[in-house]
Amino acid sequence: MTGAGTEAGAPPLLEVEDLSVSFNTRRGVVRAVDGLSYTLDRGEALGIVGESGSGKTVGSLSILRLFGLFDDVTVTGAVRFEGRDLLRLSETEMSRVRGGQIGMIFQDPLTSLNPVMPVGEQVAESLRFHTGASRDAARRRTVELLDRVGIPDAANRYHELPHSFSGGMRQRVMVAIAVACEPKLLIADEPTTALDVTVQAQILLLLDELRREMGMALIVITHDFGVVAATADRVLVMYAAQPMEHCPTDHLFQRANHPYTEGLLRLVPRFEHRAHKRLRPIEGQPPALTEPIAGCPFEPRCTHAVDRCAAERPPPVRLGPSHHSACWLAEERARRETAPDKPWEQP
Amino acid sequence: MTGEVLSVRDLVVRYRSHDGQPFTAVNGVSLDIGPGETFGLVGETGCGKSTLARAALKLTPFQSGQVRLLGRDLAELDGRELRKLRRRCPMIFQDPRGSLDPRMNVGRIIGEPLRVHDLAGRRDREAKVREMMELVGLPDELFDRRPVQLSGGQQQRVGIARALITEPGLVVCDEPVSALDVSIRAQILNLLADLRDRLEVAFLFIAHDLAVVRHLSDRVGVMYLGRMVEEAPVEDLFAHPRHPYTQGLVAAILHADTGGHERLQLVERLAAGEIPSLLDPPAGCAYQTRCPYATDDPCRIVVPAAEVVAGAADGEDRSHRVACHHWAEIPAPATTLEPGR
Repeated sequence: MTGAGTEAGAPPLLEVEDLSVSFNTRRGVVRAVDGLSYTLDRGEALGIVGESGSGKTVGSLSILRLFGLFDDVTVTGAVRFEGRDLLRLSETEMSRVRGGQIGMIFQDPLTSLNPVMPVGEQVAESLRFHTGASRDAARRRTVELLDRVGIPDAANRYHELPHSFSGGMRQRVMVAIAVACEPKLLIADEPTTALDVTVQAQILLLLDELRREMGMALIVITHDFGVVAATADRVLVMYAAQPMEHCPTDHLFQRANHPYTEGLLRLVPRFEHRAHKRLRPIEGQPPALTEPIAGCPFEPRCTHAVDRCAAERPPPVRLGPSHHSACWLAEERARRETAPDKPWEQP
Repeated sequence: MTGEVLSVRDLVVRYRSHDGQPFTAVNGVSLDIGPGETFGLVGETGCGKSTLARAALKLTPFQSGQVRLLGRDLAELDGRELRKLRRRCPMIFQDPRGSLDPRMNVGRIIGEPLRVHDLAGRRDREAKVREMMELVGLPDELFDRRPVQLSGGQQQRVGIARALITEPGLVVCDEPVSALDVSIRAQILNLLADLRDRLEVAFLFIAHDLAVVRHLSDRVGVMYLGRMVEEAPVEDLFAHPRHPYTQGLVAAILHADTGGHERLQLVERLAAGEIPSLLDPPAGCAYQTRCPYATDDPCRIVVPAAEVVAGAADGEDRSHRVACHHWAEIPAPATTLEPGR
């Protein structure tokens, strides 16, 4: 278990501080990320969990300053990677960081790969750009990498185009590209959502092994607590662009504090559940991100809400060395006699 | 076989690939669904689960086998009778928005099956639509809205209301919650469970996610590469999966709990590699290329027949069946779902 604590004196690998991202669209200003802060140590794995529109993806792609087609975007706060604020780098400097020191994997490998370029060359291209390796050296290293990520007959499949690979094999190629330059941080955005369940397990296992072998830090963005449980040391739960709870993964399953986290955990399959168990859904819908929210964004759906929740935004309350919950009732909830060690059980 | 809602025997569906190569999408599958029963059909990409459902409604032709739907043999029906039968067997789809006509309002979409099949006049139709909206939890004021103005969960409720308005005998749900967020997914699963209990309608519930199927199904069938590899009552399947593939699928349910890493390793051991191409299926058992227990003889030579694992006391067709040569010798994996309290 790698905690949130940093070694004395050494700065964390990644420090995101009060990051806010908003897009100016025809329908008004959309706040995609609102006040996100966290740190990540070397070799540590963080799971960022949330539903659609929670800001989990934008928050993470902001590290790489990838905003898609939106050019009218306002970013405030800081993203310090090894002490350098990435938001202040020039585009040229940034392109050395992307794919070099920070690798990335996306949900859909088919749209992320160049359809008319042999897969091997796509890996080699990244190696040559970032490490200045010769053509031959890059090719040899690429075959090793493809072999390592589990592409059978890697030397021959080097020359094939992405469409002749299965979804799982394409995602393995994406992993090879992402780790080719031995990045210090790998960002994986829903890396297995489009894959079959047995293949999902294989890819998650591969990411976990590579992280340990290469000493990479990992950010896994997912909607699935199961993915977090299998890959992450710590977890950050986001809702409506804001961080709700941040804690070690094993705390999450024993001492989840935030009502939203608790609500989500009730919906995850568990050994203890019997079949046909009735689910207790979180009623209602997430708020529109174009409307200003004065208080806690979860307040309209929260069964524990008090008057203050609608009026004032709760700050992150520190409940332990690496456990924060943005809830006005956090301390009270943490003291409960019947701690939610089994929040999934019916009352 | 009387009283069966759906009875499929030795169904074979063959297609041609885009370059004309023939392949078998469904290969000798049988299943039965009784009145009010929910049958969960699971499997990964290309296993034939959606093709099987489509063939059961004769939306896609089949090459051999027999399908009896709501007491009628599909082979004996002409086009008109088939259409009449199908209106009692609606489908609910994965993409709620894509399956709703964007130009129609909610009221019209839900009432459309009544209009198409000429089951009710305009006035009756509107009353029935409003009744159905209440049943699926859609506020009355949404009657005049268009699909784009609804959330994903509301759109799926519209799809469900439209499916149920003809008082169906069998509802086919193809991945009905896969596109929804976790908190919304639970709302829809609860709604489907309520409707199943209240309306006594039978469901054929198709999903790639065993955890979802577990919430709703009475029986579960697991398909792999066009074949049914295991079929059992839901608790039995999850507590005692016999087929190595089912064991892998059960282990692949990612729990929000510690021990995730060990489970991933178990999945990789039970379901190594990838699904072979349907265009070039392996000889013998379809699963032999990924199976840790496969032997040259008989697994790579003979297709395993379905064997009964344990029959229920009443001797009815409630048994646990598995198509594996070695099922009796395979150890139970350490991580399976024990029946809950």
